[in-house]
Order: sequence, then C-alpha cells, then structure tokens
Amino acid sequence: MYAYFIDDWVYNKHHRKLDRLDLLLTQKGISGRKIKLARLNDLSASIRDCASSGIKTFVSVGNDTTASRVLNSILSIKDKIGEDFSFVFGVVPIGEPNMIAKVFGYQNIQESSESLARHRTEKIDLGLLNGRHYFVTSTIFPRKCSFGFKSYTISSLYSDHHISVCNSNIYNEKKIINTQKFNIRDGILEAVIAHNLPTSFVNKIRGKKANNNYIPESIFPIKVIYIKSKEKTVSVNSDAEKHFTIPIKVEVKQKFLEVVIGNNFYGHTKY
Amino acid sequence: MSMFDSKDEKGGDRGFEMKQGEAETVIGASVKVDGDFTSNGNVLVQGILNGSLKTKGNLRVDEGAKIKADVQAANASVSGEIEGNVTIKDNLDLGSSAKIAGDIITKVLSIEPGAVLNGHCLVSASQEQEIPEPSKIQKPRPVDDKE
Repeated sequence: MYAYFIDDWVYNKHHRKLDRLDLLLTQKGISGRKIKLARLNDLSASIRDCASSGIKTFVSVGNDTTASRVLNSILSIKDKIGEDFSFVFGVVPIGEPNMIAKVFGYQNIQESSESLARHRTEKIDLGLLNGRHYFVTSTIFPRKCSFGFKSYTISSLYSDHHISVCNSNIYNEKKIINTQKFNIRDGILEAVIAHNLPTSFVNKIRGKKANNNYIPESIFPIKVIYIKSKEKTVSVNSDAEKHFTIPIKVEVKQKFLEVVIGNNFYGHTKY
Repeated sequence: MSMFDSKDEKGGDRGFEMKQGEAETVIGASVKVDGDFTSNGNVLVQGILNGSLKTKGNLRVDEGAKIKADVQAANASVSGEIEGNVTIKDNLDLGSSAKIAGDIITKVLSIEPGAVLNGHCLVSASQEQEIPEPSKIQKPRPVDDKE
C-alpha cells in the first residue's frame, strides 16, 4: 500500500505532470491514498491514519522542501510510536530543487514511478540537527559559522566560503578534491568548507556575476559536530529552510531510513 | 601494492607518498584549525593549524601550510612549515620547501636539498630505543651502627 503526499503548489502549477503521474501509477498498479499538503491540513493526523491503515510506503510528491516536511513528520511520529512503526520512503520529483530524488536515484516522474513499482529498497544515513530536524542531503550554514569539535575549532579565513555538513555529494563530483567521500551509507557525515571559482576576466568585462559552483576545499569526516556563530539564531538550508539557535549539534543516524531506490542510487555510485 | 608501502616495485625503499585523493581529512589552504586536532585516518594540511596534531594515519603537509603544533603520525611527507616537535612512527620525508623548527623523532628520514631543519634529530630503527628511560638512581644503603 502506498500513500502519496502531494504539495499544495503542485496542484496549482504542475497539474499536467500530476495527471501524468496518476496515469503512470495506475498503469503500474501502485495507485494509493493521496493526501494534499495544504497549510491548514494536519499532516501528523494523516500520517497516523495511513500507518493505522497498514500503509508502509510513504511517497512525497514535490520538491526537497516537501520531502523534508513529510519525512520529518513521519519520523517524529515514529519517535512517539516506537519501533513497531516501520516504513519505506520515496519521492516523486516535481519542481526544483530536487536533490533528494537524485540521491535516491531517479530524476523524473517516469523513473520514480518505475522505481516505486519495482520497490527495491536500501537503508541510508540521515543527518540530525539539534535532535529534532532530519536531513537527507546536506545542511548549508551561514558563511560566518565555524565548526566546533571536542578539542578544536575550524574556521574559514575568508567570509565568502560555503560552509556545509553533507550526507551526500551536493558538489560537482568531477571537480571534487577527495574522490572517495560522501558515501550515504557509511555512518559518517562530511563537514565541508568550499570556495567559489573566481570569475574569469572575460566574464568580468561582460559584467557576469560569479556562478554558484562551489568546489570543496576542506573536508572533515565527522559523527558529531557543533556549529558555532556570533549570532544567536541562524537560518540554515537543510533540505528545507529552517531556523536554529546556536550552537547547532549535527549528528549522524546510521542506516536510519529505508528508501525506495532507483538505478542511479548515490549509495551505489563511486565518484 | 598499497600507496603507503615504503618499498617500490623493485623492492627498493622509495619513502612515503600520499596522493591528494587518499586523504580522509583535508585542511584546505584558507582554513584555520585551533586546538588539539586528532584523527584516525590520513590527513592533508594545506592551511594553518595551531595547537597539536595527532593522527594514526599518514600526514601530508603541503607547501604554504603553517603548523604551530607538536605533530604525531604514522608516516609524513612535509613540504610546508612546522613549528614544534615532530614524532613519526615510520617514514618522514622532508621536501625541498620544508621548514621545521623543532625536534624530530622517526624511524626513517629522507631530506631533499633545500629543506630547513632547526632542532635535534633522532633516527632510530626501533621506537623503544629512541627515548631511553633514565636509569634508576640507587640510594646508598644506610650504614648499620652495629657494624
């Protein structure tokens, strides 16, 4: 049994894709319960209802923010219910950004529906912020933050660097400094300080701004880390935008989430 | 053959070599580390480190890196600056741009022309022989008055 959590804006902006998805799911025989994620809807109540009905596969239809919202709601219910509640998580990518679907190994509606029908699953690591917010891909922190470990701190000498804690590779894998990193199933997160490529002379003359292609420069494998900043509260991008008070504890939950994987699953890919 | 073996294909000793992709921890050129840095894997230092550095794996200090710390590692290849004592279990390679201000304890040491070393150097086949314990002071026996 499947439950599809469809974000509100998908109905308004992507109704054709939604019709196509409906058709694909019916053809493959995996049509299930559809829940609309409106602002006033009680998501937790819907998930409890699905769980009590015996639904084991929860699918988020939308972008990374949708997936993060659905996943965190399911996991908070799982925390309350306990080990009796097991589920498999999947994503149907509609809209941008959709890094989570890429990590799971599917990039469009067709691929995700095929993967859901095949129902091949793997357990992956999850990152956890301050013991309450889970993330699949990475958390990007404000530029003035520093990494705090038990006995040492790491800070960037420049203010324009990209500071993140990654579970999967969010950077361009071809230019990555360290090729064996960013395994989503190794029980380790990577604290990364990346720098932006300087704008070429020709682009400067043309008035083009620097692109957002960051290259990892410093990589620290971690299990627990504290993020420090001079500000009391910071806004982070952790699959979805969230606000946290400083210091932020980031830890890894090894093989915590069972997901439906596609052919290009990141856990199988060696960069 | 592993990249960290000290012998080449012909069986000759070629020293220690660590490629960029093999490092587990990378301290980049624009990063500063303050405190007692510890690691279990290979470490590549290109930036600044103040405090102490301990790793069970191998260490590579690139040109431009500045370390003000006591350093401990299994193998090390140094092309940057280190201000502190360096204790290496097996091989220590000093490149032509290496500058070390401190004492060195290692099993095998190779120094390229141009490297600067200010400090004592102890190269010994076994670690036990390197730091001999001071012999115990024998207290004079108290003289017996009856004798």
